[in-house]
Amino acid sequence: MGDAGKMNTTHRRLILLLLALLCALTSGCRRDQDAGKVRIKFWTFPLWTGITGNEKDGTTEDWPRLKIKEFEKTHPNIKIDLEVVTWQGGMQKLDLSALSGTYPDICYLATANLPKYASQGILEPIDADMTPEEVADIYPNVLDCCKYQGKTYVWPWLCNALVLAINVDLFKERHIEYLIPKPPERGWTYDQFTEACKALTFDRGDGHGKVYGYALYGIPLSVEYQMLTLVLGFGGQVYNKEGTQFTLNSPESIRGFQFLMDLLDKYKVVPPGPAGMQGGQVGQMFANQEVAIESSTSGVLKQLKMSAAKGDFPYFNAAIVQPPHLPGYKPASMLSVGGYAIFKQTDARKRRAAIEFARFLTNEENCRALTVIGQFPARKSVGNIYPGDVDMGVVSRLIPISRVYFTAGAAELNPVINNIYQSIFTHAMTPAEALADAEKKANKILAQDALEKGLDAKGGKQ
Amino acid sequence: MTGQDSTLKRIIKSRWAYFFVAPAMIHFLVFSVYPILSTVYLSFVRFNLQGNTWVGAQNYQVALSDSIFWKSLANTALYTMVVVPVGVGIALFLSSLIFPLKPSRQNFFKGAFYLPQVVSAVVISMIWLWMFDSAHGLLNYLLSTLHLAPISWLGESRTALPSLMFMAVAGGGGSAIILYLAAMGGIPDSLYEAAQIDGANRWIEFWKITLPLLKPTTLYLVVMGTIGSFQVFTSIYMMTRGGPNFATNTIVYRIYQTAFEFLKLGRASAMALILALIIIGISAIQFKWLGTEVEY
Repeated sequence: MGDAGKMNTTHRRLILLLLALLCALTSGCRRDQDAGKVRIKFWTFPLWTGITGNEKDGTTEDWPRLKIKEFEKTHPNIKIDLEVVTWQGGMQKLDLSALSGTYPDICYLATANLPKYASQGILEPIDADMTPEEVADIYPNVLDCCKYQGKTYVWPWLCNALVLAINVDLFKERHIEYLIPKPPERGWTYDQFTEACKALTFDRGDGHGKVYGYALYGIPLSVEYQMLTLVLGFGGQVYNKEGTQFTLNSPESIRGFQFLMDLLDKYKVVPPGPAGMQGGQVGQMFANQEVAIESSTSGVLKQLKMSAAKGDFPYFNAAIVQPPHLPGYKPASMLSVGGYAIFKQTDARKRRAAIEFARFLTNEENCRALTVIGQFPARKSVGNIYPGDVDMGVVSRLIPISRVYFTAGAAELNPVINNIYQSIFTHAMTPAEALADAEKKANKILAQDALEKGLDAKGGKQ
Repeated sequence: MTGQDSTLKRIIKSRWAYFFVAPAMIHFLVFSVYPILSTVYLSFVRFNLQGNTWVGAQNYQVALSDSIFWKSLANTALYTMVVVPVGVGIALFLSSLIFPLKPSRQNFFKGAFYLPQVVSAVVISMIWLWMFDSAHGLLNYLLSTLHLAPISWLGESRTALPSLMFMAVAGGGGSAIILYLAAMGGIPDSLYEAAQIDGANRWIEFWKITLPLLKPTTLYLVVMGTIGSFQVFTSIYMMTRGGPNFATNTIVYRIYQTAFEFLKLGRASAMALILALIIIGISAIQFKWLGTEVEY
């Protein structure tokens, strides 16, 4: 080996030595920096991109990272590790993490999924951590959504009420603007809704197929509760107050489901074969202006604008209205609530840190950020975050009177409730028969659930 | 002592064989034996992340008293009884048509029929979902050109399961055709020449020579097809979620729902073991009926 070769080898060794030293130093620094800190694992879903939702190169991590930075600044002894899980696989990931005991310390959770995890005893009850002022500041029905068997498990952040989205342009095209419900409530009766659906069901004769007033569907992603707003407006209840009995089999609910069947068979204002349609297909048909009225949430207007801007379909004017109601009665709407759940903790410091972070994420400033996704704050004190917006005003008026839907054993009851739609849409059963069948199945599940909970309560754990 | 020594010596002597077998054995123990034993254990407990409770045979009792489980079992059995024989029959028929062709043409058809096998089941389900769509689907478009009323393929109890069966049969014969063609190539020409001398026509040749000598391949396809059909899941999950009216709820979809949607792992394990017993039983019967020795 010549001098040049020896020099090269020496250089290489020197560089390697320096790199190793640098690695040791940086890892040592990191350890020193985080030493003594409480480290918590935070999972969230991609709620929006960027900070304001308008950044061109925004990512779904931007807002949570900013919040973590702000929180860590005021809580220098806490270090938060973020993971943004996808909507598609996030719930499965959470399930698997729960099964393997590697769950996060704090996670965004839609309260629809609360019973599944709370029943496994892997969530921390947070009643003792909320001050009376904080409890009083949350809409009571929103707080009820965050409870499982009387205990609060989710620190509520956002909420929404199920409404109807209407295609205003189609109303104008059919010269029925007078049927568009009037603000501020934008309420209408079942008769007015049906009249509008009839007028909105037509064929332009241009070979692009028929336009329908409304759309029913029998294959939802989870439980179908959007169409349930139309059913429950007749006065039915899904469960008793304790959540121990299925009570949907009532004359009021039979009337409600019969109303759906009338839309299908009598008035023919919905696309045929709804039992084979998925919820997503209805959304697509509304966007394609093939359906004029869609059961949805307020977020649909924002989504329509964004998709139309991307060129997915031509823009059209849409508005939010209440679900129909019986004359002299209030409409029935369902609440959807999201917030932060703390998973089971053995370390008191970590638990405190997670609670503090949940409190921070749901503070007034962060509640105001919900305008980005068209959601509403769970806290009354935040006030109206959509001043002058008639559409959002319709929803905010509905929130305090909307119902809590989910209860114990909810996940197992979903197929039973979905089957009511499928049985009647396929004409396999009448609404009365389908509800009687569902009652039998649902109460069997609830009884089994109670039996298993009794087993747990007795102990005998291995 | 001497015996033990000799065993030890044999192991030491074959240490490299054990060394090379070890990864496969470890994989088998960790990913097959351990999960099976865990499933057996879980089927006797009420699963809870905070600790399991021994419930004896209760999970089996609850599973067997679940009307949706029975409906799922019946759907799966019907699906298998139609998809497997029809699929194998079509594959055999097509193979018989392809086999006499020139090798280059054979390769073209092999590739064409095998192509759907390399496409993801999710993608295939999405394509068929569009074809079955009652408003914009290809099938109803074809019906409309014949002035026939549209059919809600996946929206009616009587058409949903047959639609999924049709989809499985239409796209699932590729590997069966490849196997049949390979097996047909292995049948000695001398047998056909002898039959021709004896005056046998093409049909007799097929019936008396080809079909009996394809029995091992048919057995393999029937057994594997039955196991695969009993495990049908992707198309159900993507296209119907078991509906309408539980008409397409299959047993594996029910196990998935019970385990991962309801987090009832104990009950789901009991269902999985019931399914395993059913498949073992059916496979045993198939081996008895079709499993004769074939010598060329």
